[in-house]
This record gives sequence, structure tokens and C-alpha cells, in this order.
Amino acid sequence: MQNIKFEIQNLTKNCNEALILAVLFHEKRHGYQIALEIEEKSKGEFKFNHGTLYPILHKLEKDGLIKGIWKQEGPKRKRKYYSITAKGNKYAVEQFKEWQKFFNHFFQIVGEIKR
Amino acid sequence: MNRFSPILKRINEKLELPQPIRSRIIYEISADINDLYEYYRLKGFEEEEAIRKAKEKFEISDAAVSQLIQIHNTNFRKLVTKLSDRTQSLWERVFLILILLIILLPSLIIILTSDFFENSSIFLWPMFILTGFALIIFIKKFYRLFIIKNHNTKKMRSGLPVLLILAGSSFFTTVCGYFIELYTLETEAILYANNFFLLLILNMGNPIEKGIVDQVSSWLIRSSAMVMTGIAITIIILVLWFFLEQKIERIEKIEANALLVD
Repeated sequence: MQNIKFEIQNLTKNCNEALILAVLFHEKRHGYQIALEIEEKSKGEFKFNHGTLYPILHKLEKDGLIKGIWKQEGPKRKRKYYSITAKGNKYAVEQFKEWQKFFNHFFQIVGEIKR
Repeated sequence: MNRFSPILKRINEKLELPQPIRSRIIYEISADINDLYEYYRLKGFEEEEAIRKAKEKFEISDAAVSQLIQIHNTNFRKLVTKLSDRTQSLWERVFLILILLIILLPSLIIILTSDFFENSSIFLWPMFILTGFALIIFIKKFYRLFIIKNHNTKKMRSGLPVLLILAGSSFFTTVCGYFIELYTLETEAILYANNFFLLLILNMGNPIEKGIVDQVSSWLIRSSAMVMTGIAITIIILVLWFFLEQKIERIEKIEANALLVD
């Protein structure tokens, strides 16, 4: 299982990974669906440029956290669907826990402002 | 004509990756960008606006391109590309085929003689089994690619890595077989000659020493035949793999080029 480096400088990377894994957690999706779903569910808060999506998807695939499967749809159309692997499932759960911890610490500090 | 070919072309030019990988990335982006365009159309956007919005979303930065290159450019892939790039021209292909024939023909002539199997090493049989598997995979792939022309991207490359594994296994069996045969000969010779093996080979006066010399000759025939067959089988499997790899690369190139046509 790959190590989660949950540090300030990796926040964007971890955030993108966590969002993608969360979308794929229950159902397989292809690239554009992943980006759209993230955008729609976050009510436009997380605007995913599709161009930046591919390096993340391909890296996750290379690490064995997600699996890409090609499907022929019609005579000329091929689509690549991504689904989460067992290793990815474990990794995602760990990631989500780390985020929980991160926000707990974050609000512990930020929450002091209210007092 | 693909309405997104200019953007796909731009990405294709930036991606300094071997053709198969580049083609697969272009397929993926092409399918996604077309889907996004259709999504915007369904949302009620005019054609021009839908194209503009989809293009905007798929602008891939140089940083993203270099990340993709970094992810996909493995050392093995670089080696395969170098190999296929170097055999692109006709005279290079002819030269390669000639070298292969020079190695393979004498080997095949010896293998096909009747004496060959009488003196054969037991290590030849696993090699023949490996060849059998390789031929089954090759015939299956050949039928799919050349006869029914099923160019399904998902399955097109399946089985190809197995051919490489089989070639590697054949070579490994050859090397191991050679040393095991050598070890067996040495232990038998020591048993016969009471540790004076080399001296006795030079002095073939009595029947025991003659027996050792016969054994050494038999081992030389057995092991050289095995090594020759092993190398020939490894080369044959690699040639089959190379032939299929080239065909698949051509198919992928054609399909990717079709997406890039204005």
C-alpha cells in the first residue's frame, strides 16, 4: 500500500486524489463524468479542468489504485472507464481519515477566532 | 472530420511518448471532449458555444503534459520504442531478417534430423511446451488482427506481454538446463574417475576412461543441441511478438491519425 504524504505542500494533490477516489468509490466513470460530478456535487466550488485530470487519473492507475478499462461504444467510439481497485478502496479510506484529522486540527485553530 | 482535431493535434505534438501510449491518451481525450460537447449541447448551448466551452475545459497545460510523459515513459517502453524505431526502414528490416535466418536455419536443420531427439536433453521438452503456448497465442492474435480484423483497443494488446514472458522463460530454461547438465556430468565423472577427471580425459587407455570420454562427447552434443534450440525458440517467440507489436502499433497510429484529421 502506498504511503499517504499528508503535508501542506501536498494538499492540492491529495485533495484532487481524494475527490476522484470519492467519485469512483461506488461506481465506475469515465474522465469527463468524474470532472463533471465533482463540479456539480460541490456546486461549482471545485472546478476541475479536464486537462489536469488525466495526469492524476493515469498516476492513480499506474499505482494500482484505480483501473482503466476500454469499452467499445458503437463502431467508432471507444471510452475509457475508471473503477476503484481493492487497493484503491483501502487507500481512499485512509485518505478520508487523514482529511478528517486535518479538518479537526484546522478548525481547532480556526475555531479559536470565534472565542 | 473531428471538430476537436486542432486541440487534439496540439496535445499530440506536445506528448513526447511512444506512439501506442500517445494514441491511447488521444483516444481518451477525444472521447471525453466529444462527450462534454454533447453534454453542453443537451444543456441548451449553441454549437459554437458548446465547442468553445469544451475546448476551454480541455486546455492541457505544459505541466500536465510533462506529468503525463513522466508517468508513461518507463525504461522498458523506451527500449521497445528504440527497437521498433530502428527497424522502420526496409533495408534495416531485410538485414534483421537475414541475421535471424542465419541463426535459425542451421538450428532448424539440425533439430529436424532424426538423431537430434535420440540424444536430447530433458530440458528440451519444457521449451517445446513454451513454444506451443506461444504459437497458440500468436495464432489467436493473428486471427483477430489479420483475418476478422477485430481492432478492439481493450483486447488488442492482451497476450503480448505473455509472449515476452514465454521468450524469457525459454531463455531461462536454456541457461538453467545447461548448468544442470554440466553439473550432472561433473558429478558422474568424479564418481567414475575418483577426482582425476581432467587427467583421465587426456589418457584414454582403459575402458573406464573411454567411458568418460564417451560421456563428455554425449554431454557436448546434448547440451549444445539444447542451447541451440533454446536460443532458436527464444528468437522465434521474440520475432512473433515483434511482428504483432508492429501491427498493433500501425493500427493505433492509423486510428489516432483519423482523430487528428481536420
